[in-house]
Amino acid sequence: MTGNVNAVVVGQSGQGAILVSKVLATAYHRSGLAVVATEYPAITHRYAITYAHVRSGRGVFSPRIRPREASIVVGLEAFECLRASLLFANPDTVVVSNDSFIRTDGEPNHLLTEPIAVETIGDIVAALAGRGITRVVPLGATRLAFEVVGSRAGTNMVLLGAAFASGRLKLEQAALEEVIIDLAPRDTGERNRQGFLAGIAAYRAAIREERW
Amino acid sequence: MAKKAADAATELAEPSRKFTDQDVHLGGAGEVCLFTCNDSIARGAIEAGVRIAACYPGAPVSYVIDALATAAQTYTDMHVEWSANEKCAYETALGGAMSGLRSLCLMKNVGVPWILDPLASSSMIGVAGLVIVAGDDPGAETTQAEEDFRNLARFAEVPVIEPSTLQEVKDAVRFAFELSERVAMPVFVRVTVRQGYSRAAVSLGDIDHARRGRAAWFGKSVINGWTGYPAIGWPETGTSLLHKRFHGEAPDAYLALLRPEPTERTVLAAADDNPFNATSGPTDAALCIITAGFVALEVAESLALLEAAGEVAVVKLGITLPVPPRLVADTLARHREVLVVEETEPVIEEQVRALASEVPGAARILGKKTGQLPYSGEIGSDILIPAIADLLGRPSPLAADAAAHAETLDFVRHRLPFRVGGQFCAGCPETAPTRVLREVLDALPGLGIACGDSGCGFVAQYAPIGLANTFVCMGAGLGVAMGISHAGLGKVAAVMGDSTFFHSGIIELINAVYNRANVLLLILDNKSSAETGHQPHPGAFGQTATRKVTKELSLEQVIRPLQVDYLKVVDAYDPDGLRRTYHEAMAVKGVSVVIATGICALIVDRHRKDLKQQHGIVGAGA
Repeated sequence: MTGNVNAVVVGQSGQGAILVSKVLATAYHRSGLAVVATEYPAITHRYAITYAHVRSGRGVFSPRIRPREASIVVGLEAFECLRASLLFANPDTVVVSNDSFIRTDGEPNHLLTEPIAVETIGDIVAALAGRGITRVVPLGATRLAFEVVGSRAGTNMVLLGAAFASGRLKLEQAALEEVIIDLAPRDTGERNRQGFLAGIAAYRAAIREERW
Repeated sequence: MAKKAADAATELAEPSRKFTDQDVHLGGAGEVCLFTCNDSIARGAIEAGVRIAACYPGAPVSYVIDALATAAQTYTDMHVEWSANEKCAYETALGGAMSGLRSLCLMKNVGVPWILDPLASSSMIGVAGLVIVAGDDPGAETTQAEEDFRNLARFAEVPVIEPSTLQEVKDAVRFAFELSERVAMPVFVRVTVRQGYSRAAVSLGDIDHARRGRAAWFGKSVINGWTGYPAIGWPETGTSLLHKRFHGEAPDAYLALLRPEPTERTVLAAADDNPFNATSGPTDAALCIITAGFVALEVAESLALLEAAGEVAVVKLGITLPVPPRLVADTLARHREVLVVEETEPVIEEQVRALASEVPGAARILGKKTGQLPYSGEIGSDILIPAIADLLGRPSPLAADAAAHAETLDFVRHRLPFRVGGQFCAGCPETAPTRVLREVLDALPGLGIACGDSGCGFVAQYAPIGLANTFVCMGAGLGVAMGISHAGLGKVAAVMGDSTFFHSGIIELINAVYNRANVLLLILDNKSSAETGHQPHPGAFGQTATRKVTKELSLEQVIRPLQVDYLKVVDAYDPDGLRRTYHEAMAVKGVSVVIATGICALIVDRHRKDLKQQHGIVGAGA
């Protein structure tokens, strides 16, 4: 099953992780590729973690991705990206992460004994590196979404563009653009497509700097 | 408020497109569509010619109603409804089936207990064409209890079908109507939450328009009608006679008077010749896996990774309650070991163990009861692969990853400063009412106990609001508060949403008034079943599932005749008004009710975006 796409999309509820999943699944399907996907919606729990698993390739039966077997993690929020990457990434996984945080309340982790720092995107990158996950590309996706899409709600499409640029999705750009236009809510299709394109450019610029 | 409400009503009436993607009734036979599980269920029912469909919202199946409501705009003979609760939904479908129409009801796993009385009272009467699709929740991902409703189906002796792929989900729902008619019983279709929120390609079948268009009819008869009556004075009459018929114990003289079905014999035969039973792998393999439902995909994935499909037999059951007796007996006789793979309770495993006692030299049975597989949580290939590898006497290819993952989990537990529980959305009308109530309860003398309930208000139990001290199930908050108040711990608060009030809270309130409880009930009136996707309910905007205008029940007007001791409606965005009201309400001995009214902020926001689009304003958001 080497070479399959195992994409984990993660964020907080309301950030559009489910829409990214829907766009990806539809793009694979329309491209004639086998696809299965499953989503973990947070329902009422605003600011709670929301996941989607999208899988394409041979020998794929279940939509669930096994721990440490994601080929790419798309993080719409920096801290949730860390949490998901710890569970699903391995040293070969590409992690594309928004550099923005959404601070939340809630019950603290009652087992916490030696907390690590998770205040900045640098902390997130360092924490992942400490677990052997080094192919991490942080992007200012929320800022780009404001600039290009006109709303933070476009953050998901910026990061989808970055994920596409990583080469891990194994889809044609035109296929994704067409689906984005079709599935974006209301009249936001073209603006979301622009966000997607901005994400591609941002990823490529970031990679040039990182040189890996 | 009235203007706002009228505007927002259009938002509530528009079906969600999140987990149902398209107009599922439009595709022609042979077309292959990317479907969600909800789409598959809806399409299967439409293909079967369903006429009546009813549901109370709950994960993961409530979006089926959105798809069916859309279909009902075209097929106007269909009745599709959001019911006030699951019992109402089942009884509506039951009445439809009693009238000769194919009828469907849907519910979450914790909805199934609500229908147990009418289900168990109607399972033996011979009703046909009645399908219940219920969503189980291994891992309790979206509900408060990791329960397995198959145990409740067993209580009523009702068959359960478990499809695995989304193609099978569609086909199984269609087939379930045929099975229900063959066995003359309601039939469950079990999906799980992981399956319920999945997407995959599905090939469509044709739609049975003739079946949907069949005229309703109703047979009136005591002995062959629909009255389940007790055996008063003579044990060979009434419902007990129906039970005797089912198990082949009824006297012949009575059998001549009764419908021929349902009988256990027919159900068992149907389990054995079920088209979703499938076997694969070598018939003489030492190891056989018996499985069913979504987890069968995990079995296939595990065997592919282990490259063991050629050395392990697999028996996938289409019906799991009852298990196909001949197929299982044959399997037990053929193999040395049988591993039973299923999620949550060992419902299949226990039946297989019982059948093994009748098979000479039966295989050794492994599963949850022998510790190979867990009871709790979803069972993925990461769990199955080591278990199967161990039985095959070889190392798990995931061993290194499993060790690293275990170490990571330990790291997350002890070093990652995360928070759980979520919080209210920005602008949520439930924030101030819950936060101020906690503040008032803490300021007053006494323990300041508050009992929570289902719905968005659920998150008020977490920090920083910390309102609710108990949470059990829908409607239970007020009942538990009553018990605590009767225990002598002062006036106790309970909080529930408007949808929960119509679901079951109204009965709790009547009980509180009648038994002179000392409680304060806060109803968070956000004009929708917001938690599950903004479905309408009897108190929300006067809209049915199919977007027809109906009566909107005012909470205040419904509650006032119940003779509570204090009743006030407050603006949910007025903290000072809320504070004053809570102090007044807590000072009254008896039953106080406060209704905090404010439309769900997401509905308002969605409406704002639509208006922006209508006026061509850029920046409406994605």
